[in-house]
Amino acid sequence: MSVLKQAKAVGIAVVLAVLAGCAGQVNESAGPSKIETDAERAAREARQAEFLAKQQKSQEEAKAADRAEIMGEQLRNNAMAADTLFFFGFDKSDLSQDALDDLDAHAKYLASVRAAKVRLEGHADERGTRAYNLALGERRANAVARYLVIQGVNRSQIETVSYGEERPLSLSRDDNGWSRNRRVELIYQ
Amino acid sequence: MRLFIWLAMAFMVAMPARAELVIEITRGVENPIKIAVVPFRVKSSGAFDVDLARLIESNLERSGQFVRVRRDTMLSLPGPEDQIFYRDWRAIDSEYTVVGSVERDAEGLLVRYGLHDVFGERVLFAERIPGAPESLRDIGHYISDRIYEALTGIKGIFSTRLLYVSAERRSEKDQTFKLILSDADGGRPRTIFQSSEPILSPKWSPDGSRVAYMSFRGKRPGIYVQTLASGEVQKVSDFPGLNSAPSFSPDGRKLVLTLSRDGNPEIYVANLRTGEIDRMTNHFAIDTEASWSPDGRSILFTSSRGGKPQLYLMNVADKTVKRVTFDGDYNSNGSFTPDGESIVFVHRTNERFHIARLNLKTRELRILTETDLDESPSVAPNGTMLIYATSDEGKGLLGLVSMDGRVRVRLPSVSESVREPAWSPFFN
Amino acid sequence: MRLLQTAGAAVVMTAASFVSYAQEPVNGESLRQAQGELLLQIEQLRQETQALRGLMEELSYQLGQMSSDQKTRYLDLDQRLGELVRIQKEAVAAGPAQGSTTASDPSPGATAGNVVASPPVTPEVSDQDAYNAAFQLIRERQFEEALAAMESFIETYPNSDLVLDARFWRGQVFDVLGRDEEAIEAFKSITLAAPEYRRILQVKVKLGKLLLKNQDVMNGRKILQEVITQAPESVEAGLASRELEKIN
Repeated sequence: MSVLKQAKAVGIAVVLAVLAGCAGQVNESAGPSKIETDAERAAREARQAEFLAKQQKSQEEAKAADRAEIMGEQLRNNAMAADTLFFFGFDKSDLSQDALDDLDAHAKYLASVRAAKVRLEGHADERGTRAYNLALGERRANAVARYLVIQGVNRSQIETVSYGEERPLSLSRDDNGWSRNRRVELIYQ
Repeated sequence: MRLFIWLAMAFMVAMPARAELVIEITRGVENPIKIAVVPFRVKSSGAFDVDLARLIESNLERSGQFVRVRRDTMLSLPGPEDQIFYRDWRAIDSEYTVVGSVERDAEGLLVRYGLHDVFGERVLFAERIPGAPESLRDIGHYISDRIYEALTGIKGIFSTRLLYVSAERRSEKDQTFKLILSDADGGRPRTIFQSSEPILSPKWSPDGSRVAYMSFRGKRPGIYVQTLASGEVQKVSDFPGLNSAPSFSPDGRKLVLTLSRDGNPEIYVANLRTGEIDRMTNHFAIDTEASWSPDGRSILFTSSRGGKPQLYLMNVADKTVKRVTFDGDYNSNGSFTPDGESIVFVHRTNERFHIARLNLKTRELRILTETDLDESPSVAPNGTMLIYATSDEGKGLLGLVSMDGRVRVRLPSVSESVREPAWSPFFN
Repeated sequence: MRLLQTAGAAVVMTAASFVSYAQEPVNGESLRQAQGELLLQIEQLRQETQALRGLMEELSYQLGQMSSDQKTRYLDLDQRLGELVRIQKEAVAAGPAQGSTTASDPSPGATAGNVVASPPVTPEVSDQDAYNAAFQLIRERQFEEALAAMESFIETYPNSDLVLDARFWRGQVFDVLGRDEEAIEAFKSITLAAPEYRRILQVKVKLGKLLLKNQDVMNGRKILQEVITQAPESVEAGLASRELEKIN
């Protein structure tokens, strides 16, 4: 809840504007590793909406705007606008350059708000054996976690878990579907 | 680490599950033994819900080494006390004929049967088997084992059991996973554990009394050992990070497993009595899917330390490691055959995943399956066959294949997706 | 490529950030950036190490395989050589007219059409000299070279009395080298072209053995039987019946 204390005096309009900007951005920069399906976008937007709702509630509780916190709000907005899905190559766990930019935004926010926590869920595509894929998902989640820690986030703010190939986003059994399933999902708790 | 004991939870109590496996033979040996199993004569009032003759002929046929003589071609349907006219059976090309009867008595059941050699014109053996009222299937599997062993010289596997995981998916985050225990023919499936989170890597203890598996309790994965008779569950590990791929040591006292508690997936050995945990590998790559050699001296595991997943063999005494697979760029999830001479594993060729067997002495590599995304091979305790998971149009199903790849049997699931099969040891 | 560039840039950046520490107070932002880049570099190094390890494992496995193959091949060759020496001795014993070198083969068989009165006085290399040179290579066990020499002899002196001998040795060398199919072809062509060749029995025994070894039991048996009927008292007939016993 202390996260929410930090969330003060942000016009919903501002957030919406950022969101809108973000949606546009995703379409423009739709590189191979950033393709977002409707389902994924829906999921992300749902998460964001949920976040907004929490935020709105906190705003009602909030008192006057605190100028010192505007900077923090900016970081939060950037984090909210950043991608929360990070994709990987087959049997790979190295982060793409695209992912780094988004992770920087998350890292700055998490580093500034120590009470904020994220859960990183690592996933793999169905090819290969299940236990190996579980380890692969773990490595992917850890790659993201390690990068966040180096960017100043506390390890205790991060929880990692791997689902291996058990929770595919896409059920299509082709390169497109598989590339969507090889991912780490960053979820604010 | 301390070991915690849970008492049986409500959902661990055996529940009946739908019959999920149906046998369908896709290939067989060139010269299978022709056997006629005459319908067992019912000698008391009331019907039985198991057709013993059908059960026995299906069992034998599934081995690929037998083919049934169809019931409607039989010229007579003798019982165990009747005289057998061998000429009649030769006429319909039956090499062996089984006759039997079943009746209810004061103690429960009494089954009589005899196995006849048609060409030798003699009874090979005859038995009387008393049993509890609900034991008809067990008796059928027992008779199948006796006939199989008498005619092939190999111990039968029809009284063994299977473990597998079934999954029902409604959406990415809404799934039901069940750990199912069934007879070797897929009969009598019962759910022994159920969860909305994934269940993985079920493995049998060497005496068949316990099973180990990975499951989530809460949002965290852990390794659990469940005693089948009591439903009692023991937590072996639930460290932060990965807890996966358990496998019992041949003496049943230890579990080898994968943990990432030190930051990276590594192989550990947990002593089930003392709770001590020993780290076996130390490499920044993935090390997982460990299993023991039958003599308990080596551990076979998957590692990506060479850039691609390959199988490595570790000497347990000094922890030295050597690579064993060199064909193909993806070899994983290996386990030993009961004789310790070969290993079976998942092997990728031409972008497809198949089950392969490698003889460690001769280095002969044999690809046993021809479907795609084949995984989780588990060898039958008599070493003649293995069960594996494959998929058809996105649905997981189980297949059997003989160790020379010549006999293939498919066990399609009726509805849910099944995977991660594990073949039990012998129970006797 | 892009990765490499990134790595290169990262090295520069890292160095730069160290330099800047010396002059300015520590800048948290640039430190984090440097750390991030170091992390990527380490990951890259790890992948590189893994790939190298994989390659090394494969190469050392292949090396092990090759040296054991080589040992097997050596043993096989040794056995074949032993056989060659034995055949040579038998050939020497069988033909008393031949000297210790087959070089002086007087070719008593049917002379070819063109008249070759070739004492070693001929200005160019005589067929006899060429044959001698090729045969010398066999004695020196330089089989590849001997093969080439015998083949060029057959081509250069198609009408020489020695051409059948050259073809005979060509077949023998193929056999020694384990090139069974070519050996079979060579011997078979001699049986077809020159049924009267003085070493025809040797040719047939060899051919029969090779056919049996290569699973052509029917033809192998036939040709060995021929040797026995053709010259029942010969050493070759003895050899042939021994081969036949092995398969019966």
